[in-house]
Amino acid sequence: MNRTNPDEPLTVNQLHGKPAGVVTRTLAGAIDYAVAAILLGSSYLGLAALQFLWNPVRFSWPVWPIATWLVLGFVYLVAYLWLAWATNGKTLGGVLMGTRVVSISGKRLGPVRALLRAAFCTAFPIGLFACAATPRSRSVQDIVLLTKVVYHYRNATVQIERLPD
Amino acid sequence: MGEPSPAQRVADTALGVAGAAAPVVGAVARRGWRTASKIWSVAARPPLVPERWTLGHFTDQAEIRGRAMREQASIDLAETSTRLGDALVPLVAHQVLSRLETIDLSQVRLDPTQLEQALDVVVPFTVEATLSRLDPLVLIENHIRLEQIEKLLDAHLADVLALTLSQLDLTAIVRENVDLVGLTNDVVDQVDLAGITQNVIDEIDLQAIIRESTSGIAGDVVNGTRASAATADEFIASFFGRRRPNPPGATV
Repeated sequence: MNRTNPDEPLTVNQLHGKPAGVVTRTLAGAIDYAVAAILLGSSYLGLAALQFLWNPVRFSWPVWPIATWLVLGFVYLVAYLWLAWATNGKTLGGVLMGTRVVSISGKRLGPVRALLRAAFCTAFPIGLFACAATPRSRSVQDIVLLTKVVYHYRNATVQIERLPD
Repeated sequence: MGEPSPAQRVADTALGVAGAAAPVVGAVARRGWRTASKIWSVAARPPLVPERWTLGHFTDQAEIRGRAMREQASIDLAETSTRLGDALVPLVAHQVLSRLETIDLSQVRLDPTQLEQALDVVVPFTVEATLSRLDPLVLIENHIRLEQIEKLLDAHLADVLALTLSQLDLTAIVRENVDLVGLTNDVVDQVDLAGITQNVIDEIDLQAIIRESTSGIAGDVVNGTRASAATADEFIASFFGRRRPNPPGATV
């Protein structure tokens, strides 16, 4: 659908398929971090529950060093992002915020590139903010791995504010 | 007072003699009556004489016959009086009415007080006697037609009811005469509230409404967040002095 009238208000449907901005991607990333944190916390509680069931008398909360938290968190986040991007291109944050990670040609990422991007994003999250200043809203990971993040809405008709030129 | 006449003197003498002899005669008569009664009791039913041949039996039979004759005479006299009345009353009534016709009623002066007293006596008696002889069902059957009642009701029932209701304080009447708590309890007991509630829930499909409204609210929140974030994206992009290479809305 071509928008011929510049005064016509924008809707999120009209952004479908366009490069997503830094705010939308940051919110989606925050949601993904929360998902990974929930997975990590669930793992800790699950391990504690197993220890309690194994020996309730001598139960004590497991003590994990900070390195364990960091390594496990890294692993969980990479695994979660990899599986999401390699299959549907959408993490939970992407589903809620309406973004999808695709290749530069618009296709779904392969497993290797999805894994590399997941590891890159997890190890260097600040690279996301490059999309605020780059012409096509591309982060460092997008530039290196030839990917992009686009708006991916479905049946959304909410009107958004159109900024003056 | 002059000298009494010879006849007066004779009468006075006889009266004096009678007055002097009366006690003696009375005593003799009482004694004689007692004696006669004893003699009669023996003579009326003497011993060894069959009852049917005694003098008492004959006197008893005579008494019975005399009583019957007296009663028959009374009956005959009543019948004769009735026949006589039947013969005389029409004649008398005719004569009375014939004379009433000759009276100029306009010249008759009625005393209002007497007339009112007469009416007080006559009217209740007459009305009661009349009403006691009336049969409402017969009156309705003979003199009232249902079509007339229907027309009357059609024409005036609404006005009559409206006027009646306007004069009544129905709320006060209900409060004073109706056991509202008992009535409510009876109604509640008669009504299957659980069944009605279940039917209402089944009809309105409450689960679908809750599901749709919940999903609608969640969808509104998500869309609102997306729109706000997209607006912020636009702002950031304009802040860095660039427009999107593919402006929003170019192609969906």
